[in-house]
Amino acid sequence: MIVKLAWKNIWRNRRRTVITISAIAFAVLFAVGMRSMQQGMEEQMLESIVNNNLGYIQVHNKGFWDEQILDNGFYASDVPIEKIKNLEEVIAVDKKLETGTLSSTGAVSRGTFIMGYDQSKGLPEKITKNITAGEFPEVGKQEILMGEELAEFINAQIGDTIVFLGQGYQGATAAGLYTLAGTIDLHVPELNRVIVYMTMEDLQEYIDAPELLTALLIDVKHPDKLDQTKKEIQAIVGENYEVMTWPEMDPELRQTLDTSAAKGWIMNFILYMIITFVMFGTILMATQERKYELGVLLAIGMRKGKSMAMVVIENIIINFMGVIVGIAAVTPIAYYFHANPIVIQGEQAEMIENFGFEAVIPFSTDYMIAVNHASIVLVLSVILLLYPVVSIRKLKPIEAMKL
Amino acid sequence: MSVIKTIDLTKVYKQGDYEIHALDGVSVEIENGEFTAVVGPSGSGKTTLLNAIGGLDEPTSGSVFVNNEDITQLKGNQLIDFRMKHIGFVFQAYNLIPVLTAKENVGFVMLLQGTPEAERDARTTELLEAVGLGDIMKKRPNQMSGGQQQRVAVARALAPKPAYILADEPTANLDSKSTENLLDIMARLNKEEGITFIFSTHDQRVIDRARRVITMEDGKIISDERRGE
Ligand SMILES: Nc1ncnc2c1ncn2[C@@H]1O[C@H](COP(=O)(O)OP(=O)(O)OP(=O)(O)O)[C@@H](O)[C@H]1O
Ligand SMILES: [Mg+2]
Repeated sequence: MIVKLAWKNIWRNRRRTVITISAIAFAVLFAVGMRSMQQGMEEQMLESIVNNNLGYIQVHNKGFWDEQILDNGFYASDVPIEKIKNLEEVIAVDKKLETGTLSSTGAVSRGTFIMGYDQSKGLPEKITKNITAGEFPEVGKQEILMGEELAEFINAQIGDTIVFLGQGYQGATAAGLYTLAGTIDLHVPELNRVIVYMTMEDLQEYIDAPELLTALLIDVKHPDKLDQTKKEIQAIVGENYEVMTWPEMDPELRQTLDTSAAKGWIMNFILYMIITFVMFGTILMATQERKYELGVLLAIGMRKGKSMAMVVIENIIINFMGVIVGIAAVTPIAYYFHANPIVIQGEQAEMIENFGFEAVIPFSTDYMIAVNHASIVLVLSVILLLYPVVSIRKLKPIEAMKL
Repeated sequence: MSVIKTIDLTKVYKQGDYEIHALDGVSVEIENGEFTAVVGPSGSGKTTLLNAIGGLDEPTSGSVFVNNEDITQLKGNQLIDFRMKHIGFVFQAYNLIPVLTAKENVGFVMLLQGTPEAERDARTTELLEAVGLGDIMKKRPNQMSGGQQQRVAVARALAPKPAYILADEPTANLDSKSTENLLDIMARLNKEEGITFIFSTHDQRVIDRARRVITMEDGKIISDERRGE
């Protein structure tokens, strides 16, 4: 009976109900939309880190991070990689070898950064799909991929022979000839100007140190449990190795993400203030204008508890509808922008690219965002229900019914 | 047998430094089956008296016995439940639940009491017919005239078979035709079914039809007149 009465009451002031539902729906839409965008950006930044060879966690020989030279590398066979792989949190362990060198086509030479990739695994699709000319190198043929701008700068065409000249392991001179198989555009100008990919084996041969690595890149299941995972890895590799998480390696990025999150919370806070006022306005009006009626109910024998239940049910239904409508509206939007990320242009794009990221914002489709914000709205609405509950508690029939 | 008995009832409102004695030692008995009007100038304490004997307001001192139970001793839900079971109210205006139909309004208290649907249905129909509204059972308050609304209110007040019905200026917002109509119905219910009515009024036509007239002034009963038919 109470529920039925509540339901009828909801529709007696149709316009206000619709306005309230829309206000809540809009708030949910904005909050979830904004958060999806931010989280999408954050997710994409983090993902970029993994793909741009930073990884969530790295293991190096002690001292490598401060002085990134080959002499600070280590041998793969000295580290119990299998043990790390067996950790609950670890998804994958990738070997990494990178070094600076000079690349040249004869006339022009330029500082280059060579990344060795595991030939058995190949390069991640994210990189191979960005091949702009030529094709993926064949293993065993001393073929390489080169950043577009680097190739342009040293005037290299597909099929040309490239000379690398630099320092090898422990003072040896490194030199080698390689064929340019293809060029890539990583959407990051800084990388495009210096990057070369070759197989790990070719690179180890070039620096004259078979099995040498500069780092292990560790992919984890839960990026939010890095510190714990780091400890577990440190215990496995021992004191002679340094285990670093991405915030330790790139504090600037950590800060950028933190700032973005903080901004997000401030925005959400403001949004929730507004929505709280809207919801409170509705509840206030609904309670005030019904004082007389609630007084009549009390006079003719409806217990206060029942009146409270009725008002509470009314508001919960309204707020719930608002949340559902909001989520229903925002979900397709988030999915659309997830599939078709917003492309940033101009100065801002440059700034982002300088950080080493693509200047696009894909939306996150993490359903927890919707769940979180829906819960916040519902919790707020429940808190606001204290108002009518307390008013009804204090209600005296003759005062309520004064005309 | 007296259905209501008040003993030395007082109600004092403090307004700044001075006190208003809205009820000043009222002792009165109402017998079963009476048709009583409480009259008197504005501010004489009529509403205050009706509120006290309806359990809507607490007197400052004194007792109100309803069916030999002192209702000034009841608290919270006890009092609410007592009103539901024993007292029917008709207020001056706006006293129906706007989202419910005439029939639902009449059945509301029975619904609160948990009366089975079949019984409720029969009684609401019977009551609405008794007040001459058998044809508008499905209408909502905003689709009815003021007189029709008051008749529905009377039917609602009667539904739980209360000991008596209190009506504070029930005709104040009605035109003369609706007033006559409502009075006819109340008088008939009183005569045929023996229902006790107590109402306050300023309206001479209403006073003329009362069989007992209690006149108040400054919170006191100054005359109490019983009339034959
Ligand atoms: N809540 C209140 N606070 C202070 N004084 C009150 C209050 N309610 C009533 N009074 C005073 O008590 C006295 C009796 O009021 P009451 O409403 O009972 O009069 P009434 O006979 O019903 O008048 P009316 O014919 O105008 O309805 C009046 O002087 C009124 O001003
Ligand atoms: Mg009055």
